[in-house]
Amino acid sequence: MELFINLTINGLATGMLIFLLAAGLTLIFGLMSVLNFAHGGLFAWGSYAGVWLYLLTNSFIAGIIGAIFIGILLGFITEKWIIQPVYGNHVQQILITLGFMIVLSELLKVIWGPNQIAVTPPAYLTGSWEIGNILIIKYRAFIIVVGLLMYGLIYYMLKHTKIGLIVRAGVINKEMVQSLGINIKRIFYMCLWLERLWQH
Amino acid sequence: MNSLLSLKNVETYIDQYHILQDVSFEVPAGEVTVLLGRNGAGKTTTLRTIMGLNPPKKGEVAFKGAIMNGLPPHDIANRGIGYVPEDQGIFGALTVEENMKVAMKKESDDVMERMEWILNLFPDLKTFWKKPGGLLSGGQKQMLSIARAYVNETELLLIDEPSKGLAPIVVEKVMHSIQEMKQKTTIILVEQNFLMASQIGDYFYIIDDGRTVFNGRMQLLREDESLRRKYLGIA
Repeated sequence: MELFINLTINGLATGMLIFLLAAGLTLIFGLMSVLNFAHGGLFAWGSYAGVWLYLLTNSFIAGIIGAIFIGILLGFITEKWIIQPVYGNHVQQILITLGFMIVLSELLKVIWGPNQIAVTPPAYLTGSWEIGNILIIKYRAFIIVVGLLMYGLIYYMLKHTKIGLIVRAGVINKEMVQSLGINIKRIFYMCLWLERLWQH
Repeated sequence: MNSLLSLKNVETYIDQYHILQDVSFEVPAGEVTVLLGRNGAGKTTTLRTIMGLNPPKKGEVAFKGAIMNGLPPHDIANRGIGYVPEDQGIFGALTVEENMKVAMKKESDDVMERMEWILNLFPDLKTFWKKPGGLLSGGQKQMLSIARAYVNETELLLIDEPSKGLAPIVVEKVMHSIQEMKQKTTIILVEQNFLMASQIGDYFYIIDDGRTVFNGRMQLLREDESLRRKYLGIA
């Protein structure tokens, strides 16, 4: 039983990371009809930048803020110069974002080297709680909590706000949303930025 | 003629296809102008061109004297033009209430008043208020689409084939509601059902092969069988 609970917690922590990635991909594909194969590259860049800043400043919070900033900046650059010229053409989107993914991952190696960077979480996130024979690693619990918070935030935004309503309508019929006087492009950009925000 | 909207020598392409080749007409304020013509003549493309969904390559689309060429659809809609597309454009996964809320720019007294008026016109929408739009019948979807287009201050309503695929009794209901709306706003109606169009319309334009070929007051077409045969192929 203990093994089952430990594995479930580990699985949930990994699952939350995948959820955050998948939620972004789904929204961008659903709303913007963009197949972004560079998604993982953007995620990795935010992570590397965050770790780099964390090591530089010794502040975990600064690392998170830096990761968000770099993620948003790269998201903006990707949309403006990589994706915008190929809107509406899935084949071109796959080719160009796949190419950009390679560029992003090679640039990572150029800047931070080819080896993995190991980082110790801040003191308040290291260690574990022991409940009977069950060991809950604090950092994994933190990831699960952040993932759940993000889920709650996305759910609330989509279900209970006007922007969320427009996003849901836009996924179904973009043209109709525009015909109702809504600037769908502005909503797209907002989603891209939000997606970058919750990924990091 | 006090013209609310005018199209002058409009040409529109969809991909490489030259759909509208020379469409010109004027829409008088406070009246119903009906676009008639055979299948594939370019009636739907004309409405889409006005909305900026298929922008014109040549010619001029002007609303209240201001040229709208090149404006994005949301800007055109915000000038006071409502659009009811041929496929109704209902957000199927959203409830009737949410469909209306997407369209509402603000929840001001004026908008709420319009909402009340339109829901009294289409009481079915009240009944299915919390039901997903996708579960409505064809007629109810049409009503929702019209209601949604009208809920904000709309000076011109573009309605594309509201009778398409509906049972005759439902068509009558929809037609009655368009008659009511006629008192409040200017309408451009695209319709294949001549009987229905002739009951509602004040003016008509006939589009054939992407060109406006004939126009006049609806009475003229109602009374002249030879014209109907020539342009519409009906008695």
